[in-house]
Amino acid sequence: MRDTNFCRVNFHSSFGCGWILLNLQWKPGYSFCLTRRAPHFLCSSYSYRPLLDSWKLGFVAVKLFSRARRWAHLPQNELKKQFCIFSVVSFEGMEKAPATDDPKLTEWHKSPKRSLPPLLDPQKLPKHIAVIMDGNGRWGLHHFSCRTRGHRAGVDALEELIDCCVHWQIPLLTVFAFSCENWKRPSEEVDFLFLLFSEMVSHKLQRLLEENIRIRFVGNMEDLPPSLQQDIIEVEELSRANSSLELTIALNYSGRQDIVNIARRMLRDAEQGLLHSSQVDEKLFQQYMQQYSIADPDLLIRTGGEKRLSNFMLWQVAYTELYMTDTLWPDFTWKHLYEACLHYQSRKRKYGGLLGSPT
Amino acid sequence: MYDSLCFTDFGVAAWISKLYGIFISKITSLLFFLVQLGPIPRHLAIIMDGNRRWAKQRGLAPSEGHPWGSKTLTNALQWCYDSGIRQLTLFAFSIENYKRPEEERQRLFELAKEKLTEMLDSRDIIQRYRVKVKLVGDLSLLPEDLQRLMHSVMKETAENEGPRLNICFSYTARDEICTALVHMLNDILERKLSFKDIDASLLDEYIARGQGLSKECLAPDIILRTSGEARLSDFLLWQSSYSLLYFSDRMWPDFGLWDFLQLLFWYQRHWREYQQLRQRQEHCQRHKEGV
Repeated sequence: MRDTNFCRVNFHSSFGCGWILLNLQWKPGYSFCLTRRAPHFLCSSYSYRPLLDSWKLGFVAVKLFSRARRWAHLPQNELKKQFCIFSVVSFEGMEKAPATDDPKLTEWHKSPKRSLPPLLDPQKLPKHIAVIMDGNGRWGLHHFSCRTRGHRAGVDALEELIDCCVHWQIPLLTVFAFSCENWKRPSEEVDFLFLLFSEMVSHKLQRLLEENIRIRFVGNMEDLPPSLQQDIIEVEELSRANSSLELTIALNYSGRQDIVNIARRMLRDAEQGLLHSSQVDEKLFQQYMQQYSIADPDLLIRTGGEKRLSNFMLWQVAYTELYMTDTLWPDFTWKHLYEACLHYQSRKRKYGGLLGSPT
Repeated sequence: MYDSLCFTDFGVAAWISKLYGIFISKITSLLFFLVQLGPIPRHLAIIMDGNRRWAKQRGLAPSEGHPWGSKTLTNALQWCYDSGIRQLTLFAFSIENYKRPEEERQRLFELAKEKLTEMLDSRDIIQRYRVKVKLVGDLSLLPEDLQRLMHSVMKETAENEGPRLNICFSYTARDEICTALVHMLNDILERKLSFKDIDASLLDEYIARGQGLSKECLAPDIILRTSGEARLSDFLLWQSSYSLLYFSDRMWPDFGLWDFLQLLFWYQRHWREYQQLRQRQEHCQRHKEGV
């Protein structure tokens, strides 16, 4: 990553302290401490509080104290050395004053969601993100003692995610809306969810169509209410020609059933003589999967703190980076997506071979 | 090590180290006893990743990490037996690993031959604990002598009723699913089955048949991956639909008893939710099969 960034920290005169936000990856053997030898630090002490605490990385806000200075420019590589951290992301410092005079960064500060944030390499962004939106019920119970309010808040978070993906030019997005196993939930919750889905499909998706988003639904459509099925077919038809983002919504979806459906298709084609059973192999299965179901995701984000796949896209996640975070889905913002993309960027994907060797 | 000590000290040092050894083994047994007071996973799957990186960190050649990894494997087998885990599945060699350089592949095959020959020895823990070993994967891609050795190990341990050990060698989950699918399609085209029989539990049966297991023991309770990578890398995709995923930052040769116990304690913390989930899932499946 090219290191051109400085963090500007303003020390407020009354307390002589300022905040910077660090993206930490704890390195074993290092303790989190400040050295006094650094020329850029005239700080007598620090304290920190964890924010955005995710499964492996953590955003930590560090408060720096300095009686003598009003502000300081802290170069990123110095900070990385001092704090033994993975990268420095100074949201708070940057939002108040641009860190550099770089015009691109200045542009970004004006509307953080609308363009690619700093430190993200557009070549290394994931091309297909899959999301398991878990934690709505818990969020609703925690904030409003009502699971259904959580689901409603989840829809807002989903809209924000779609917005981000459009602006950051991530071409494919798949979300897990309803699983085959969710039918076991209390019937009021299931009824409310379907009400929410029909509302979403008829009202909010119109807005997405205007943004040139192509929408597809995968899953077992036969168990859904007929009015919802009708709306779904209509929306798919209307958005077929759109090209900016391809949004796939997995409704009543089960990963195992997906594989079984592809097997059934192959059998039907084999019976009709379109293919021979000796032609059936991994590549063919992969082609069928991409044509009739969802393509392989690069990054799978699971919110809600659970560490499992829950029967979502079992075939496709063979080489997908899994990113599991404890944040509940309604709390998922563009900052969490930024963190997930930073995590993805730092991964070395070898697909079983070695880095740098011909595959 | 004892060269610098005088004659009388030699006896004392040996006595102290023996006492220390006994002390450590007592503590270990106590820890295993404590762990077994709570629920233990029935089936653990491990992706043993990080050997090369571990070797590089210590200044060795990358392919020299694998023998150290196999030492940790022996320890892991012992820990699994001591904690009461009934089934262990390991990811030893993927079909994608054939892309690696010839020298490393040969080294891995040599290591596999060594380990398998040890297993045939009656003093090895495999024979002592009556472990049933099964080698899963597309074994036809491997060299002849390795295949023969594998078949003899499987034959030797076929009658054992103790814990099970499945070693995935020359394996990818997608290949496993496709092979099961091909068998299923052939059976259907030969009219042994009908089209409407195709469902998830049928594919379960075919995959289980390929692995030589029964349907119920397929799904792992925990999938452990060392070295901090958070991917499944084509391992047990079909079976992992409800498994708990545990990603450890330690490299596989560094994976120690304490990390293993941490894994078990973590499982015990999440056990209640996991049980509820499995019950719901089994209920769903029985409901579908009933319909």
